[in-house]
Amino acid sequence: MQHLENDMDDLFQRAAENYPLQEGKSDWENIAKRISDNTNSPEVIAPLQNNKNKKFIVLTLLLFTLVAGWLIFQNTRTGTNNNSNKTELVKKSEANPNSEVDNDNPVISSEEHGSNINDKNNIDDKNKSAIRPSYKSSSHINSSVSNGSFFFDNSNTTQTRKGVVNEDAIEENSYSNNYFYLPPTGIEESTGISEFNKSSFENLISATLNENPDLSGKNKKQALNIKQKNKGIYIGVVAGPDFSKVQSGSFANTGFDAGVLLGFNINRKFSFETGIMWTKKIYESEGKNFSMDKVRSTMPVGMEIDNLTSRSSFIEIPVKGKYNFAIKNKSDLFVSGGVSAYIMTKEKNAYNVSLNGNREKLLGVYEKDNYCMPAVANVSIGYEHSVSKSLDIRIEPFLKIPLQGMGVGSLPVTSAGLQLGIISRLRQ
Amino acid sequence: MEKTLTIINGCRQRTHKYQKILYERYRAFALKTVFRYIYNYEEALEVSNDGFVKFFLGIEKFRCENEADIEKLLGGWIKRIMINTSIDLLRKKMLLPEIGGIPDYVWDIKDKSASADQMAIYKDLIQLVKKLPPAYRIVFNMHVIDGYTHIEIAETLGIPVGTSKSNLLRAKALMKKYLNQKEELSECSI
Repeated sequence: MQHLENDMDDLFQRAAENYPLQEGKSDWENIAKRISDNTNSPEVIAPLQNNKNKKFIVLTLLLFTLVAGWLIFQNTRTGTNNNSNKTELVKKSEANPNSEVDNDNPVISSEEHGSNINDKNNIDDKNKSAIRPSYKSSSHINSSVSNGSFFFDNSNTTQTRKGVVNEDAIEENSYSNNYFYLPPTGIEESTGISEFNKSSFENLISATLNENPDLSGKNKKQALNIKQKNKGIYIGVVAGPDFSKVQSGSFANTGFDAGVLLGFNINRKFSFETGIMWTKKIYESEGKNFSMDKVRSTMPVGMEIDNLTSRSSFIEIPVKGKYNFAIKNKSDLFVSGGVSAYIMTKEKNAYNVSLNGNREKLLGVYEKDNYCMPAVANVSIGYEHSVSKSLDIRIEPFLKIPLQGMGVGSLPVTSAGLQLGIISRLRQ
Repeated sequence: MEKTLTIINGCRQRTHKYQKILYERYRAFALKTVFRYIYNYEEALEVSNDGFVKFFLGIEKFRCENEADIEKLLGGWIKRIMINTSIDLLRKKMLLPEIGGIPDYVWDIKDKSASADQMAIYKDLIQLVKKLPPAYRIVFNMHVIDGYTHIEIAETLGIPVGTSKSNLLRAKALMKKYLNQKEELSECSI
């Protein structure tokens, strides 16, 4: 074997060509089947998996809708009961022939005003309370009174009261009736009660709650509800579909996100929120957007990525500010903005590549955590509706704009979607 | 016997008859190519099948200007696909070496003729290649046997050209050592 050292290359080449290896049995049937399968379904199994995701999302949304619907139904029923109680109470008041308005009361004095005014509705002197008639909407308010006075035209009791609002005096008085309603938003303008502002009304609620232990439980809860919304911590669960794209692509693929949030109300308008979300994104990209820097060593060189479909799971940590720009008694409209950090937990990329002139498919699975901080800027607009004393439901369409590339290919992923949430206020 | 060009055209039209002819013609060659990299017979069979599926699915891209070179070009193309498919598998296995010797059933030495002795030598040489460390073995296979340049090796494996060169030098040095050891053993046995 002396000659081997002299012409090693040639010898090994001949050896490689002629070495006696068993050919084995022909496996043509298997290869033919695989070729047919690949020809008939050239793309990856993405559509099937996408259908699974869609079913999951639809089921989640359905569940959420059922829960929200039930809560709203419960709340509506409670509201109906309140109305029944109110009518009953008014009737009781009408039936009391001895009830008279306290004329010493400097705030709201009862006096005859047209034929509808009579002495049937009076204020119990012993309780030293002033009548504040109930109303459902501003349509019940007769605002055509001059001299700064106003009338509450209570259609249920067919009575009209004339009074001059004195804020200090209001606080000194409590109601003889065991119920009250908050004025609808905009009442100040329609009635010209400029001094009757929100804070004084809240003081009024406090005073009422403190001074009138007989106040019914449900109304007490409503009053507390107003106070609790002003300040305090709240938590919630949110979930919803997520549609992602890379650059000029389309939002064709449906992902999903779900998580918990923690918020703090600075006041009735401003709050801060953070949380932790599990996010599943599916997006497609052209190969030109994919940066090979992080994966070059694991890819056959000379390979070009034509396009890819990525299914990625992230843990998202958002930090955002929220501003309620339209506040109603039971609902708010808000805008929010902030940033999110992403921790990628799993990335599965199905590549369509060209290698040695062949079009091939490669699958890359990356499970190493990949931190992006901050990864995206969040903007959203939303609607929040109170369904009980401490429970709100929220609908929040959002847009997430990439601040840096995500995943092994550093892809600039833009996401849009809708988050549905249930928020619970914890404490003041 | 069908002409190679006819077979290729048939394969382009996804005609199973021609695909089978081509597969039968090249499967031994493909298996030998893959086995030199994988050194596991069962896995080599799988990888060569994978390589053929890739080959048939991408055959539209195969171009040959001169019909005289078609055999050579086709063989080169199949070999390249098989090598790339083998390297993909090795990369998945993190280049972990195949442990243990090569079982006898994989060899096909049927008689005791002079050509059989030659075959045995070739078999020994291929077994010697297996003794090289995995990183050296791949470079040795690609450069010495399959004729890749260092630039091509570096690109395919994602390593610097210098590493490819130094790996080859060490592989050759080790191979000479193994060959000398083998020669000494042969002389002793005589």
